[in-house]
Amino acid sequence: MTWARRSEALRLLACFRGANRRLTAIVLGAGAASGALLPVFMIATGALAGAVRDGRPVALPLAAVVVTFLLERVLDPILEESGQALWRQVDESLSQRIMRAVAQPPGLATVESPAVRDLIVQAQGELTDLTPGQAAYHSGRILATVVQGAASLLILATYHWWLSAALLVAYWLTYRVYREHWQDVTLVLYRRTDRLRHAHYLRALALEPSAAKETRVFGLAEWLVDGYRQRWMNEMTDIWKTRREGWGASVATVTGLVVVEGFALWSVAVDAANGHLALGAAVVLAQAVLGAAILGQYKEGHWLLSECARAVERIDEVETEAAATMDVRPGALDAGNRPQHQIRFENVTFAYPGTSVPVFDGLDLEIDAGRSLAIVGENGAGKTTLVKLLCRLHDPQGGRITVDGQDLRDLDPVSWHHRVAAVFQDYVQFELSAFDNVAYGALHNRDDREGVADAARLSGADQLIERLPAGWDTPLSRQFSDGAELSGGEWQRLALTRALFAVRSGAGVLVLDEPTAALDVRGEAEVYERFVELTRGATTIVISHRFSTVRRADRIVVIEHGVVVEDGDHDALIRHGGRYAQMYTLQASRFDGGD
Amino acid sequence: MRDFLRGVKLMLTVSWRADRLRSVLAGITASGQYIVLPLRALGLKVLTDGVVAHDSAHAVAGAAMIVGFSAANRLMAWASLNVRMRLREHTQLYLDTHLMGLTAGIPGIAHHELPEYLDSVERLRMERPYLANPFNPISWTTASILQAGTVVVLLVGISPLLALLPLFGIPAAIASAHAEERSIDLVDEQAEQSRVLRHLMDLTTQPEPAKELRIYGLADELLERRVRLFDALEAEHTRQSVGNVARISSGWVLFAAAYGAALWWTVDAAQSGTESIGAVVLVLTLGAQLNSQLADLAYNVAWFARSLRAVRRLVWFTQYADDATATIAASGNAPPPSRLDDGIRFEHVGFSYPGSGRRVLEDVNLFLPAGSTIAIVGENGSGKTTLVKLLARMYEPTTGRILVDDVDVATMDIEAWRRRMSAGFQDFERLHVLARHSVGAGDVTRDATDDVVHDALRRAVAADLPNQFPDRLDTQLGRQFDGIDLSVGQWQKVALGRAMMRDTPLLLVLDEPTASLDAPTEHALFEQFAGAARDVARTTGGITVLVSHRFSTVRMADLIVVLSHGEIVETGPHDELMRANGAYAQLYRIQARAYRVD
Repeated sequence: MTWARRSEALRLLACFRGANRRLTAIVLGAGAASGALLPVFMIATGALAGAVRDGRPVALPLAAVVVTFLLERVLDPILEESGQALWRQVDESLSQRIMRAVAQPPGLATVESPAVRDLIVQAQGELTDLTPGQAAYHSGRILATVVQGAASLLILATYHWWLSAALLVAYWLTYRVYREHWQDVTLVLYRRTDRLRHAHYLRALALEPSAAKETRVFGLAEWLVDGYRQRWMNEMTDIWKTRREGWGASVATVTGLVVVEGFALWSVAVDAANGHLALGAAVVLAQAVLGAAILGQYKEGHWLLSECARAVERIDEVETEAAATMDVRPGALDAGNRPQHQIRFENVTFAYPGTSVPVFDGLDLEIDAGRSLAIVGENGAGKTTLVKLLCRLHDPQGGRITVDGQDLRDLDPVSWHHRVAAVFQDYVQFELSAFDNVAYGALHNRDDREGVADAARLSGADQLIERLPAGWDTPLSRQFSDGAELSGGEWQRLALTRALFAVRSGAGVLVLDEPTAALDVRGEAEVYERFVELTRGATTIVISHRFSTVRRADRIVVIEHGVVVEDGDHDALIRHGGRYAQMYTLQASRFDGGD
Repeated sequence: MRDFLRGVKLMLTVSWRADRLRSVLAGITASGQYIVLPLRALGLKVLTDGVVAHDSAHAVAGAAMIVGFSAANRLMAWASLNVRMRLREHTQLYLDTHLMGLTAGIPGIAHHELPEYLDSVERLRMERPYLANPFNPISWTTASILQAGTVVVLLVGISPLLALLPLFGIPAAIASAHAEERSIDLVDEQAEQSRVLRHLMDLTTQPEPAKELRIYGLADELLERRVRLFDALEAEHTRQSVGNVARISSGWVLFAAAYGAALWWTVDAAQSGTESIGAVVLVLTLGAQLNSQLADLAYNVAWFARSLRAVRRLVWFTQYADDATATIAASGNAPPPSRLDDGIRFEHVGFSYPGSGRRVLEDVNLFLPAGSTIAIVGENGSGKTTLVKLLARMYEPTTGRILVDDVDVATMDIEAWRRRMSAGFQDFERLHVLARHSVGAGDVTRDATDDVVHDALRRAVAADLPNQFPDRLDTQLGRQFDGIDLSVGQWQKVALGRAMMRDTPLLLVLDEPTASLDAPTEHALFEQFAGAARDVARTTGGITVLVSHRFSTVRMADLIVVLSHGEIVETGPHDELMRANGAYAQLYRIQARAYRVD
């Protein structure tokens, strides 16, 4: 057994045990016992035949035959049910490991990395339609074949040890040939993961509801199906071209086996016919040759074991990669109750991973603690990137961001995240209860139902909650039988409530990225009219194209091409007559004369 | 039974359609591989006979038969593996494209919210492996039955009484089949919770929710939630498993007793000389074979049952899609007009979402004149988006009808009608493909050449967008595949460009398309729309419907429709509505006030 092979077995064992220790023991124990029973059964049949022939009492061998038979039959459903359970649990434990590995790093580099996405696809068996857990299901039965084969060889060894050894070598080589062949097949698939994922993306577009409206209006069904087929065929045709069917190797091994097995059986047959071997022994030995042959078999189960080992390896890689990704440096200092004075961007340079064009190349900006700052600029000016840096979802590549003079990178990112509350443009829609949607803003304070209700009153979400069939406990998705669907504006209001609950529960920095984009007129008006109340006590950064909200901020900066071009409060900027004044007047002028 | 046969037929059809040659080969190799095995027992018998007769040539012939059948079995197994691998891949493509075509081909979108449909799709997703090789369970179950038949024939040779032996295996087999049924039912019952499990996985591993997850420190909470839910579901499985093992084991105890009795009878007969020792050996070896054969049979039958269930789901799904498509098709196939002369008229239109009793729209009567721009305003949840969805025929009105130049739109060929409209939605899709195709998807009947795409972007006031991409129109969009990340506003411009790909639609629907756009862009966009609308009005009489909360834009529309709680409360041009001093004027003033110098 090579080192790699052994480590594969150990890795699988660790993976199964990691999912469920007891079940693994049951599956493997039942498998081993079941494998051992067949040789016992063989010997018992030989003993029974011998006893009948010699006129000895038959009760004992007969009982042995029936009991081994029964045990084997009873082990089978145990093996089946425990195998199914281990299948589910191994898949689940691997999913949970992926979730942990991808969700834990404080930065976004891991979750946004296409390479990690490739690994996830492979680890979940999406390319081959086989999940790693299926291997766990098969492991018991495969162990049974190994035990059965080994025991059969032992029986043969009592006849001629070298015959046993020759058969072992022959079956081992056969197994290797089959194994290499099938591993080759999956490796080719893996090397094309990223391109096959393109095809799978189109499949998801057709099957998932998110694109359903556009798919219909633009008549995309055929386009998607054709695109999928074309991409899939392109990749698979290449794969099929290089895939060897391996007939040469197969015929060679079969020929080898015919020679070795033929010699073994010939030897048994001649010895028995010449009276050198008892009849009962000959029958047992002939069965043993057949029983050992199982060692040379390579079935789906074996293939799945290799697949599973590979998937586990992939997950190890995801974990290693996630742990090694230092896009957000883990500082040691607790964020405490910062900021008390000021957040400063000092000559900050930043480009997204994998891109060469920097979003910021020397950004300087000061944000006063406890005050509100609005950021204005055209689409693509870098406003959202700025708040992502502030939130420490990325760290800058050059320059630094300081909080009360302390480099943000020296702070523990988790403790800093704890200081921040945010409404992003692509706010999360948790398909959970309405209550959880808000309480998730401050987990440490989630029992504060009063606080959640207060945040809802402040954001105006209280009326929306009242309309839900089960109030706060309503699951928010029509996919659930007792669920309710929210409109875009309602979801946004809930995201705002979540952020307000976080502020109430102690977060000191509030980020609002287009917080009213999906709200209706009254909703928007409520937000800006209550702006001061909403942001009280928090250092607030608001990004908006709606000047109704922007003008309420204590201070406004205009960003263009990654640098601050204007800075001041509303009145000052209007007086200044620059970009801000121009944009504001443009929007305001459209309301003139109507009233 | 008819259901069963229909399922079997469909299993064969799926495979047959996917790859004919390999379907046949898979059937031959899989069953051949199994049928060869009992023939080895024949070799063993010949060998024994040779030994008993001290005839070494006879014994060696028996050995040769064993070796030969083993070799045949191995070669067929090799062929079978090769064939099935490829067949599995072909079936995967066939099933995927079939499901894609069905799902995306259903004219409406109501199914995406039907729990029954969603459960079915979720289960199909999980059961795909059982559909990938529908030939296996059929051919292997057949082979198992053939094997058992051979055994029965051999047993009858000794005594007809022994032929009863396999009958004692029936209770165990029934127990196994019931166990399978129950476990499938359980998974069905858990479909809704399974969707929650998947949602939790998506939340933690997808890039979009990652920001809030980190800021609010939710990773552990979501994980714990998944663990709790999974454990609860698994506990139900465990309870069921224990019962299954008990029932199936009892069945086998019965069979083992029968087997013991049969052996006892044969041994007794051999001892009294009425049967040969050979008969004892034969019953013993057949017993050993029966053992593994029954296990195989139980396994294959279980697999067969699962595949059958998956196939039935596919049948249900296909039927659902066909019915939905047929219902729409049956309502009419009138062509849409080449130009609008009169306009679009809502007559007493009411609507409730499927499965919900709540009226989202109530008795809507509305006339949209040809060649006009119409703005729909109202609070969140007032029914604006629903109205738009009805125009695009994503749903059919529950009551009343919508007339296009006096022809009920429900009687029109739905695809032809949609080809004459275009739309930009609030929850547009971020298509992670090349920029060219992300825009070009708006009209796939045309090649997405530079000119065509640039023109669409220009009309979406996003002519400059490609300049922001490193490879211009050939830039891969989105981080899904190593493409560039776009801001929400940039994505929205792409979606607007898509909506502009069809240049002379009869109906252009824009459902809050500017929510994330900056002020200058928004301003330019509506100047452009107003101009375009006038052009379109002259050529095709096309109508532009805009849903917006921005009254600075809304006021430019020829006609403004104010919705409240699913009913129309006001209609008219801006000036008229301002003079009326109703709901519209009130909302307008709220927004205008924000820009006033105070």
